[in-house]
Amino acid sequence: MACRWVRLRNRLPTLDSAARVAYKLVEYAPGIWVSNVNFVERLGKQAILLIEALGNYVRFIFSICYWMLRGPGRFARQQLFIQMFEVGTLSIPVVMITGAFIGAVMAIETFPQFKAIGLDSHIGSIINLTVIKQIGPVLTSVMLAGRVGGALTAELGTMRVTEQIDALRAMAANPIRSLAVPRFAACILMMPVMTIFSDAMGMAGGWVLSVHILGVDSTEYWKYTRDSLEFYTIGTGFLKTMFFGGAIASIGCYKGFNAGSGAQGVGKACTEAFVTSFVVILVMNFFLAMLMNSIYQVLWPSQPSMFA
Amino acid sequence: MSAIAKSSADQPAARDGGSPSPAPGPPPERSAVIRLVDIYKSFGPVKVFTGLNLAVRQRESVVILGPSGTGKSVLLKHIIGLLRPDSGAVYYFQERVDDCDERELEEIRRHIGFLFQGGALFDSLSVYENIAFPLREHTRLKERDIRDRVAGKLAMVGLDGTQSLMPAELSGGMRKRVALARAIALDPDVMLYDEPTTGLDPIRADVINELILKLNDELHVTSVVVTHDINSAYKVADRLVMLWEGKVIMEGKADDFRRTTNDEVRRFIQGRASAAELEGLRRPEPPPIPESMETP
Repeated sequence: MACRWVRLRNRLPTLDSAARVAYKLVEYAPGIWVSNVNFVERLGKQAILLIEALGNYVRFIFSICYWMLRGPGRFARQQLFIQMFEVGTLSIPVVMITGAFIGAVMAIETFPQFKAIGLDSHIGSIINLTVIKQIGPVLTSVMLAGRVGGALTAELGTMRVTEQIDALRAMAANPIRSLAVPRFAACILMMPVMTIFSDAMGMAGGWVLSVHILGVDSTEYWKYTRDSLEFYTIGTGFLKTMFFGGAIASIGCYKGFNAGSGAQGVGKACTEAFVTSFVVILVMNFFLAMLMNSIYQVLWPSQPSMFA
Repeated sequence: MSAIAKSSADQPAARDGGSPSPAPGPPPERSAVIRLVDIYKSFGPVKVFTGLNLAVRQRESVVILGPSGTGKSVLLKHIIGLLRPDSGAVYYFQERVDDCDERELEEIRRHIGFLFQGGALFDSLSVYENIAFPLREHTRLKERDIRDRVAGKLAMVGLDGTQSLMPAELSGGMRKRVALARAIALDPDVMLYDEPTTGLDPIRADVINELILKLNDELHVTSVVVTHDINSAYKVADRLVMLWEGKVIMEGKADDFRRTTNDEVRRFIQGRASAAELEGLRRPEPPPIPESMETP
């Protein structure tokens, strides 16, 4: 019995520490609980805002589609050609220069690898396939996201700040119909055209480097290119850019219509529009590539699958 | 929408030389074109309207006065449905504006012209394109007729021949006049003016005032003018309304305002700040300099 008391007495400091810890827990638990509740509340609030913004964006796209189908009106039809010039014609030099240099860089980077395994004559197929299928469409879209998407957001954001969008509504005009629809249609229509210029210059850049500097035979260069390219491949490249164009225009217009007040609000909207468009293009490209390959497998089952 | 269609058909005879309306209350023969009933509106913690009531009768020219930040422009945007009240009702004839969807609002807005404070001209379009915009949107006029109509409206504001100019090439006064020409392009029944003379020199301001009177006489419109330019208000108003802390604190003719004993209204008219408003400007008395630190 005495022994038991001694053991208990020896353990008293431990018990005392445990009691202190328990006391501290009771003391601080409400604080920890409250801070966790605050964190969860903030997280929930952010999630709700995100879902709300996504919902508004989807509604915005539906409105654009509705007005496109219903008829955009005389003013919007006139604006379409102006926007096609702004989006397309003025962007040609930029996409041509970037396309040419990307083709040339592709040649420089891939030539040593192909030469090492004795396939340097096949270099045309990899350069042109990559340019037409991926780099051309994506690069053109990214360039236009910066040049056109930013300009759309800045223009519409400034119109919002200077009450021009309110003036449109006051004149019984729908801003989506008058402003967003022509820009959206112009981007969708002009993006494949821009991609043709980018692809052509990418192919030319790769050819100049490969044939005139790296010494690849021109006939073989084009022969292997022709063997690797199919109309389906070329078509998917152009089709993808229409989706990218739609994304750039819709995000740019949406951000412009919802820009905050003042120069800072417009600047922030422009940055958000470019970053969002850039991310959306890359994510969309991945899913579209998967979709296009799946469709290819359905249409031509005998061809090797990328997932096999 | 029958009430709206009726409004343009039932226009009474021309105004009697811009003289003020005789009675502040709505007489039975002249129906209220615009009515705001018990309007409450807040932006976050800021309460703009706390039970505002206002009626504007047909072909009347009402001037809304009030210091900056009392919600004068917000009031105009409620009339046209660009903003909706938290509670209360806004009527355009019998139509309840605050309950309308966007399509019904567009129908109402065709009958109302709005002159924005900064003009709000589309800066990517020329003067001609700006004024042609509502005509192209809402009429089936041929381009030749649109050209004639634009020239006519520009002539009304004294700017015919400026069709090819861009808004950036116009002075502040010219910009307001072009915006006015655009606002009257569809021959509205009601004109809303948001600070039409702000930022203009007295002569240009007077030109705008004369234009407002001219439009009232020639187009027989009902006008609501928001301003804090008291001279302009006296010149164009049939009736003046003073907003203060979210409510109408006084309405009446120009003479009523000149003779008023209401302190807020008098201070506003005389452009005199209250002691409380000047309190923040007073410098605190500097502490006395100790004798030891004074230079000889």
